Amino acid sequence: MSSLHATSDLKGRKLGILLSTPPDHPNLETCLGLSREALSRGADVYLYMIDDGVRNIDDDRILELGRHGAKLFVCAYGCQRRRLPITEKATYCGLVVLTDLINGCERFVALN
Amino acid sequence: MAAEHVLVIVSGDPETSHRTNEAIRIALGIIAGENDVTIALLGPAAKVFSAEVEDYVDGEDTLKHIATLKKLGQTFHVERAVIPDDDNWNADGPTMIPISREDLAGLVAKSDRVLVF
Repeated sequence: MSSLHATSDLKGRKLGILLSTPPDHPNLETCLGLSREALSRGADVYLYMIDDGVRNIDDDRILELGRHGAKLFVCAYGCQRRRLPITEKATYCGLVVLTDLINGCERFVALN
Repeated sequence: MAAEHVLVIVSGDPETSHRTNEAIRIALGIIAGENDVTIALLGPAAKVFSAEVEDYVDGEDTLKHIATLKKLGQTFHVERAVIPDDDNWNADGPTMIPISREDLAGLVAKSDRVLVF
C-alpha cells in the first residue's frame, strides 16, 4: 500500500467491486490493484465478497485495504453455505447491500 | 437512489458448476432491490430450463429461483443458438426471448451495470 498518499483527484467518488472468485483466482490481484489505486486517489472503495469470494476475507491484503478505508462486505449466505464463521473482519450482509452498492457507486466492477 | 438497468449475463454450466445457480440468485436479489434487471443466458447456462435441472448442482435452488422470477414477471433472454428443439425445455418456465450475440451487444450498450458470470 505504498502508493496511498499520491493524489486525491477521486475524492468523494465511490467505487464498488464485486468479487466472487476464490483466493487462488487472478481476480484477487485485479481487485487489490484496483482498490489500492482508487484509495490512493481518494475514492471511497466498497468491496463485496460473494460466492467463493467470501474466502478472500482471510487474505491479509484484503484486510489491509480495510485498514486504509475500504468498506468490506461479505455475503452471509455464502459463509453459511461454506460453514465459515462470522468474524469481526468485515460486515456480513445480504444482497440488499449489493443492490445499494450497484445503485450508489459511480463505478461498479464485477470480478466473476 | 435511482434504479439502475442491470444486465446479468450467465454462461456457466449448471450441470457441473454451482455458479450458475449463484448468478441467478444474485440476479433475483438485485431485482428485489427494485432495479430493472435483464437476465441473459448464454451457452450451457440455458440448461437451467432443462427438465433435468433438479439433478444439477444446486438444481433445487435454481428451480425455486426461476419460479420466483416467473412470479415477478421476469423474462429471460436466451442465446438463440443454444435453444434445444425439445418440447420439455422450459415447459412451464418464464417467458423467454431468443437473442443473437448482436442482440446481446445491444443489451450491454443500454445497461448501466453489467455483471458477467
